[in-house]
Amino acid sequence: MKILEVQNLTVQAGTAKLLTNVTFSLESGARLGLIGESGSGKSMTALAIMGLLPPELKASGSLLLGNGIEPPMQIIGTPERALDGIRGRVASIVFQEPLTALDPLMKIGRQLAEPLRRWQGLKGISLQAAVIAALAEVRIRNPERISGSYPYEISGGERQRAAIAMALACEPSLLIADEPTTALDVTVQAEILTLLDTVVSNRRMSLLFISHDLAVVSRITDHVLVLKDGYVVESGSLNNILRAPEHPYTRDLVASARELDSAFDLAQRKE
Amino acid sequence: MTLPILEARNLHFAYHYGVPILSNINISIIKGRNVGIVGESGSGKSTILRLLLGINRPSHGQILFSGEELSLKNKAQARRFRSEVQVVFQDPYSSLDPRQRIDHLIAEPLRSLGIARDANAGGTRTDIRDWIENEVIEALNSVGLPADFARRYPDEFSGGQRQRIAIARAIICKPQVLLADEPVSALDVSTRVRVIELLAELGQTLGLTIVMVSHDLAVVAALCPQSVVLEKGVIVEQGETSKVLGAPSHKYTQKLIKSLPRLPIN
Repeated sequence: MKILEVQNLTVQAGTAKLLTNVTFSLESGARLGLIGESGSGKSMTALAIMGLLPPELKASGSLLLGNGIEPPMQIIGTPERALDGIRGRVASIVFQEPLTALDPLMKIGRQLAEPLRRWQGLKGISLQAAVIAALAEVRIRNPERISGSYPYEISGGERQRAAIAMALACEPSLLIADEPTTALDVTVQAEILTLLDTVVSNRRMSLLFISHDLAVVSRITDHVLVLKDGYVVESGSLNNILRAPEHPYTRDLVASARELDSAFDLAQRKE
Repeated sequence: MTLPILEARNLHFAYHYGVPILSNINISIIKGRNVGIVGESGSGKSTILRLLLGINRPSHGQILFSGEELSLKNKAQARRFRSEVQVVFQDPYSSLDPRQRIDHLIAEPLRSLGIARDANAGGTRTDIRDWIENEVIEALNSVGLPADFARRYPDEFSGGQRQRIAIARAIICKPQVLLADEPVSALDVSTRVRVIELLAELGQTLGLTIVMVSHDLAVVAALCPQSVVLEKGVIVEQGETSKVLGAPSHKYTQKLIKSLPRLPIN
């Protein structure tokens, strides 16, 4: 069963095309890495799927999103209010920068309680318990303390964990992670990648993982789609793409990643 | 033993009455040996760079520049220091004044350090202007940018091009040391590789020694034979990069190496 089907998705700003005929689909429980450099249209694709494109951009094509319970919904052209049933429940998103994704004036616990209250109808003590449980699921070490803290009071890693907990709150079938570790330190990045991997497996969710970093993507999924200037230039298994990239752009991307990777190996081997 | 160009000796730093940011930092910058300062956010790596640049003064300890204690109150030394030690910052979108033309931006050190005046002693204003123009073109050339960039503005350029412009500005006064604070982390991977190659090349052609602060071990491995690993304001390990990466002795270094995302082995 397909959870997401994107066909000929084109996004325009005036006459400029930001995305051109992007086509791919994601099976229930599957994972896909969306790879490209800045300006390639990765985030634009994510926003389009969530129905979050700014109003001045025009989307065309087809974007079907469904979790199999209800018939798939066409995102393009659907009015804002009708998307409420989809966001958070069928698909939800984790952004790159948790400091801007979280409300700076609201304690973490209250932010996280909002979707839990609306979706699960919880109140009072049981709502509080659900908040703590949700924070514990994303391996936050001291959920009670974090729940009572404002975003600026906690570390970047904790913030991103809290943002992940919020994205998971309504038990979505598809999680979109848009460069979720780019703003984090390497050691924290490794922890968050492990966390995403575990949570997505445990909950049998689908995952669309967006990154510019081939090595990071390889920790999460083997299936990738390479975007450049709004076009899909290559797709398939990451191993094949690393071994025999076809498009010149992919070749350049792979060569660059290899160069840094082997610089590290070489330095180690000298010892 | 050669005299280090720049040396941090027993450096401590704290803001007023604050918790210590850096404790007991000892680093020597020797000509021709690029140094990578590795650490995560909050480790104090950028603060070290600010101290080495003389932007902040250490609470205790000394910065030695060619063996003399650095004191920017000493105007003659400050001028010499500024022309020998230059800097490139992380974000090329905020380090270039959007209202200045590229040639103006790049020539700034020549004017502010009085280099243009000294080099053309007795020359007319036209002589100085022509001389500066030539130097700018040469600097653009050495960072791999065409001469016609000189008359354009920063907003016309991509991140990688802007970082090259920032490097051109830093090298125009022919410094010995280039301090670079995360110079490639705001760039795409392919651009990143090219900027590292450029820095390596400049090291060779201009005899520039690079001190790079980075959170990325792969970038440090590519450019710096010498590494310093910093955790919470303390140096936990330093030495040859091959040794630090190949046989890390400290737990924190081991963790950093383990966390580095790697490509799958085919």
